[in-house]
Amino acid sequence: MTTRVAEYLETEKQRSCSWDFLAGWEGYETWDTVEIGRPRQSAQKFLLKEEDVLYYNRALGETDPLMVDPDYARMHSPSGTVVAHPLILTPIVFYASADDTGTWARTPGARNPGQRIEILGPLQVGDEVAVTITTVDRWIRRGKHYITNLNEFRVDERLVARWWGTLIIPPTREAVRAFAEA
Amino acid sequence: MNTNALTTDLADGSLWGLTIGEELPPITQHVTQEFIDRYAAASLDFNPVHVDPDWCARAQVFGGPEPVLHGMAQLSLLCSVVLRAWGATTEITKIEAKFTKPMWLGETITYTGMVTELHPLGEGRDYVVLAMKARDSVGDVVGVSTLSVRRTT
Repeated sequence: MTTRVAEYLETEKQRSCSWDFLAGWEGYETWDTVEIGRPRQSAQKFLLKEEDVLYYNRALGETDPLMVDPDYARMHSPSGTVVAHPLILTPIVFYASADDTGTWARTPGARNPGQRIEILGPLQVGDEVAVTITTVDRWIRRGKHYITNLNEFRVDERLVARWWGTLIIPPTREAVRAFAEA
Repeated sequence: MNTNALTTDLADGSLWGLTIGEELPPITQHVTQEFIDRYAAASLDFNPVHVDPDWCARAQVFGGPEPVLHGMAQLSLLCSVVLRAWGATTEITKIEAKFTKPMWLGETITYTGMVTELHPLGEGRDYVVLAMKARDSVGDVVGVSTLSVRRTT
């Protein structure tokens, strides 16, 4: 990663996560080898910290004090903590996929055509989120190769969100190589 | 919400004072490399298609030489249209999104939302559905989504 992006890393997870998406691609499953239907449990749970919520909210330009002012949120939010944006799920799934076999947008050359998400209950600071990733479908349409991963988010064994993440990926390892080594 | 209020809402075709076709205040966001980099850090999505201009120029994943904004940033801001209009604790319970065109550096994206369905199911279960759109500087749709939303106040 360039030093330009490194300047934006503030939280513990940002500084410790594997940010080089061009490293390790040789070990990823590819469209032609992906195993359908096998659940993969993320190696690490994502402990949702105040700094994670604040960074996500501020990056989007939120200004509501419930979302960006911890002192105000302690007094006025239902949970007594800053309110998480519903798509705080995004860094959670990327954190989970860091140790996975190459899902979602980590695959070089991957494109995001659309997503479907169900949120069963809002996440709060202090939640420890476990993610299970299952590739549930792959298909070809108009010459493009798609896969869908079902990401299931649990807090204390309670299902809190389901996310069917679809992406277009290069179909073979050689096709991935062309992007990885571009 | 009490039963009387719900009845009144149903009688005039509204829910929570909302009617079908009601539009929410839009959000605009200029796509800069700084905004992309901050969102990359926020989302932990450091795919080079977003953060590595040199690689983008060589790989041209989207058919052009420049980085593109994350689709999830677009979807997040479409959710933010609702949160900013109705409050941070508004619950977005279902999201369906399609990304239809890359969002290139230099574009200004406008995010809009409109109420399309009212679901008066009773206290604590009411929800509305919104059709959300993101358009680029020339007015092309770059993404659409449907959000199901419960209000908590």
